[in-house]
Amino acid sequence: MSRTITLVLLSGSTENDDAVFAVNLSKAILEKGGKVNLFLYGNGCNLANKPVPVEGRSAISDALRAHMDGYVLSEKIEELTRLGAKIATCHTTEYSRGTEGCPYLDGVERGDVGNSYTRFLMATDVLLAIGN
Amino acid sequence: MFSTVNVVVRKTPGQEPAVLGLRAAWAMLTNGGFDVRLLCMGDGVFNLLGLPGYAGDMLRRFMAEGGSVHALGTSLEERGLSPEALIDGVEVVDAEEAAEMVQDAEATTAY
Repeated sequence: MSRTITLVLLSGSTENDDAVFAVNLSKAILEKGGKVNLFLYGNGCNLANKPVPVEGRSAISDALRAHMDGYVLSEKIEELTRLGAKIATCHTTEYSRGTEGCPYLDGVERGDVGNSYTRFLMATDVLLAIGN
Repeated sequence: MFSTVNVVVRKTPGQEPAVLGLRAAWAMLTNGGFDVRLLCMGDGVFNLLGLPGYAGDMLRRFMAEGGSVHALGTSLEERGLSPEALIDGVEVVDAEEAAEMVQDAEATTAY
């Protein structure tokens, strides 16, 4: 019987391995037949939005870009939703960051602790909070 | 489905994860109907001093709705805080009791 894990991710991705770990862990669980709920809470909500590239050439050097690209998770997050992960945000933490109205990556749902998170917990076997 | 969940808060007031932990605990208790136990340890014990504003109100509402609140005694001692300084209703626990809380809950999350 497949088991369901709910991950609460508190860290955004920028130069922070917590988010990378959470996304990679989610993919591994899905590939083994498990189910994943991912709740993007606090800084984690920064992972929900579609990227908005700067027009023209970015001032970031090639070396720095190569480093930063390792932390860009938007494609991996959309892949998780295609694999069946349920991903929801906390819109309250988005509000305080000024991103509440920003477009979401495909498959990511707008949510909150009172409904989305609690609903996740009602059908989960394992709960894990990652990040700080 | 879980019935008992521990929420551990380790961060001081003024750091977002402290409020996120309180808010999650409150939501699990009131929306989910879980038995939620809040355990403050480390710098998290400063959240139990009777804070004004949103965070303090959230904690008082959590307790009024039946959530239980615990403080790790050694964390209080290390910070020069006496149990009398805490808001009413907080149970001070030692390390063994905290371990038992974790052992008999279905889930424990830390903020």
